Amino acid sequence: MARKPKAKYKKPYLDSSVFIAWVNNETDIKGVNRKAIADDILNAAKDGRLRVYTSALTIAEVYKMRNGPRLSNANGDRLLAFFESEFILFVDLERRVAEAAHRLCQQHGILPCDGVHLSSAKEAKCDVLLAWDDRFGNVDDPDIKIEEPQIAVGQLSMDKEMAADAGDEGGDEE
Amino acid sequence: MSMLRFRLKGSPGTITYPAFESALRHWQHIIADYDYAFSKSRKGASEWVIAELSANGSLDVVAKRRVDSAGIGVRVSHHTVSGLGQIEREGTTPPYISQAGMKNVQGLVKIIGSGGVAGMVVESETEEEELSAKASVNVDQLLPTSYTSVGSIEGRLEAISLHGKPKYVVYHDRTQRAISCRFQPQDLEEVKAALGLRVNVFGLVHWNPKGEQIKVEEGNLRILGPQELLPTIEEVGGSDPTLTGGRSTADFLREIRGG
Repeated sequence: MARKPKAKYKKPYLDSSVFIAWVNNETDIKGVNRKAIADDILNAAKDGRLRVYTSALTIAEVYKMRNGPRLSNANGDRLLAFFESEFILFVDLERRVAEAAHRLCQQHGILPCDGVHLSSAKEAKCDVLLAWDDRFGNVDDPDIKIEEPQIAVGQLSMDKEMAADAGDEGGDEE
Repeated sequence: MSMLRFRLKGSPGTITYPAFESALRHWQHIIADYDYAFSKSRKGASEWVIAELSANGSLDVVAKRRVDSAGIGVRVSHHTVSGLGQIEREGTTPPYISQAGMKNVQGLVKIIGSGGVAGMVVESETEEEELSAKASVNVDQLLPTSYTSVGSIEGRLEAISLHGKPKYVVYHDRTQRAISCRFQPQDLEEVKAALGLRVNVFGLVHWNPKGEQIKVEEGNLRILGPQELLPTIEEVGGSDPTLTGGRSTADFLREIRGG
């Protein structure tokens, strides 16, 4: 039996931007297929190859803005139900996290919600905070790396690409 | 193979009978607590038998689980030793042990330095931890409520107790710590329906001085959807390409977070 490939991350923290880009179907942002990367990370978590963490604040932030077309109740409910998945571990926004966020805002000059995500990642002792957000990426914290998400395992994406390639080849043969 | 060695360190002829008796009593309750966390059986410590007793510069008791086909004894041995080591070295609450179990740890390590007991050593097949008076100082920091807040915990509801004030234990999703949740007797059927399932308990959360959730009062219980009934990654990913109204994710976030 083939061994499962090792994941790139051990305990990644996902900023809201990862979920937003994923739901928003961003398949080509400067040549990066964000949806495929997020699919890969979430599938790796579902398969138990890594544990993903995020803040309870993420549930509130992944929504549709008031001046745009509203998220339908069905879509909103589906998203909320998805966030009950056991492979996503939530860090509650409680006093200790909020106090740490306050200090991080002072230390790094970041905004409160950014501070909440950063302090949540540190509270969960994550090894990396993943975000598709340039401003967040500029924060240099001694305790945790902050970087853009990358393919964590690759197996699923490669499988899909190979299946797609096989399909194309089949078409050519016909 | 399950093996748990408990060693009371002290010069021969100095360890008093009450100290020995108290240590053994707390020790067996700790084993029972861990055993329950994995076996879900109230038989607890009675499943464990004495495999060896010796007094050779220290008092040694070696216990083994009588039946261990499911590997429960190995897990109990590992978590008992690593858990006590965590209390000694890190001063934090280990996974799986309940508040009642922690009180037994408190009773156990309090004996160190009295009744002729100079220290304790706990040992499994693969690991060994030495307990000192530091463990006693540490555990005292983990039991009291430092502050309360309205909030919630999430995890699997795995034990219901009607002894004294009715309560159930939720093993926290993220930390695997056992958190005690009190409930009203009239809510028993609702609690029973949630046994073995992932739940969210919203109520008055008690925190210890180390910032760990230790119990929930006036908890409002909600069963979280079984994984097989929740939307899949394939169903949600890319499901709303108009979510950000055409903005980039970064611009969208800056609009809702400011900056």
